[in-house]
Amino acid sequence: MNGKPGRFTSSGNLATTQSLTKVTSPLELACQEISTHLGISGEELFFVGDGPLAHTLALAGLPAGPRKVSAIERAELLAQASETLSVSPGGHLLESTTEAGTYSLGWVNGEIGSIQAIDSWAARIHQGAGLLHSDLSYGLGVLPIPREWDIASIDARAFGGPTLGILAIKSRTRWSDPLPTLSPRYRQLHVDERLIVEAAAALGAYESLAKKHYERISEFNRDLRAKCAEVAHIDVAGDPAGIPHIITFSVLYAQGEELVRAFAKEGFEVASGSACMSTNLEPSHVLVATGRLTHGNVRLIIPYDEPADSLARFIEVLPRIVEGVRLT
Amino acid sequence: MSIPALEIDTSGLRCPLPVLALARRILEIPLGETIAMISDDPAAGPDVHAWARMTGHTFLTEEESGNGKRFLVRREAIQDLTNGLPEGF
Repeated sequence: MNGKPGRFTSSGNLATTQSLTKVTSPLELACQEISTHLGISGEELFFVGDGPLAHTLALAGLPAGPRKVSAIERAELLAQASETLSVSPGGHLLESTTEAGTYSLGWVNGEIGSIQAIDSWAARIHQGAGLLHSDLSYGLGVLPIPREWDIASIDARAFGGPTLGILAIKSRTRWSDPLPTLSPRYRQLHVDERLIVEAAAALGAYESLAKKHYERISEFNRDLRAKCAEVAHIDVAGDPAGIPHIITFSVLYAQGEELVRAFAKEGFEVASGSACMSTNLEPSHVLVATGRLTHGNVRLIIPYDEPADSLARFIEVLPRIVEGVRLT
Repeated sequence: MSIPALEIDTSGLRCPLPVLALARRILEIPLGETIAMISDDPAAGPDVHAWARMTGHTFLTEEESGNGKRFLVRREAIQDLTNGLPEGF
């Protein structure tokens, strides 16, 4: 694809690099848009059924050898780990290794919002002739994207898109398809073209909302952290310098399920990483790996267009809800 | 290691009840003494660590015990939300 955006020449006529007879399909346009966001060429872009499948295939298809996965990655990545890499309480990788090997290190953590310096880790890993896989789902459309990874996977739902997995495989990367169906010829096999078009539109819309409301949501993040400190005995996970729309906190002596219910009564839909809210009664591995309190956990993923009054009301009702739910 | 001044078994209880029991029962022992708690809740390990960090009590050890774990914590002079509450739960 060579569809560069049209521009006006000095004479005022629209000039494009495309021949006038060639019609660019919505699918081609969508692919072009997504590759531009990812900083790759169209030949490096692949689609699969969903995000978890994209993550799984991305790491599984890299050359055989040890897999070093950070302790706060998704379960399908940790399932492939031969070594789990510890992180700091703020969610940043601790090891400063340059040993060869294949690493999986996510950019923005979808649970606690911490941001990993992917490009500088990539430089270190490449120095040791290693390869880096990165889950780029949660920063895409919000922050300037890292460039130096070797393979990336994205869950389109992270930016409000449909159930769709995106794989970005740099052409220099030695990656072989763990399934027989992902050859460039069949890069959209089993994926409905409309989902790709929908994902590109969602990404564009998400990016403009994030741009417009980034400062406002950052302010909410700061206010909420301050309120948590004021209420006391609330453990806020992640790092204040993380992405603003993801914030997770745990209320000492409270049950996660009760908090979720109390917030729902006030009209707020929140998630929880507490054991009582999980199917296997295990607490969130991200909270455990970062040494956070696992009970009484509340996880917020704020849409960038969340109305200001709703954000203000969340902060307003927080102390009352905590007081009502705490078992002390 | 000295013998704990109090030993409690919270087997069968799920989060946040083991940590809440620990927070209340630790008030029964003198400052500087230790309390042992047994729990079979998979969330108890991370939670006892986090609770000690948040309240200021000192986490000492953690060892396997039956179906769960046994935690040893030293009481420090701190102000906790559970201070002054009736004993037990």
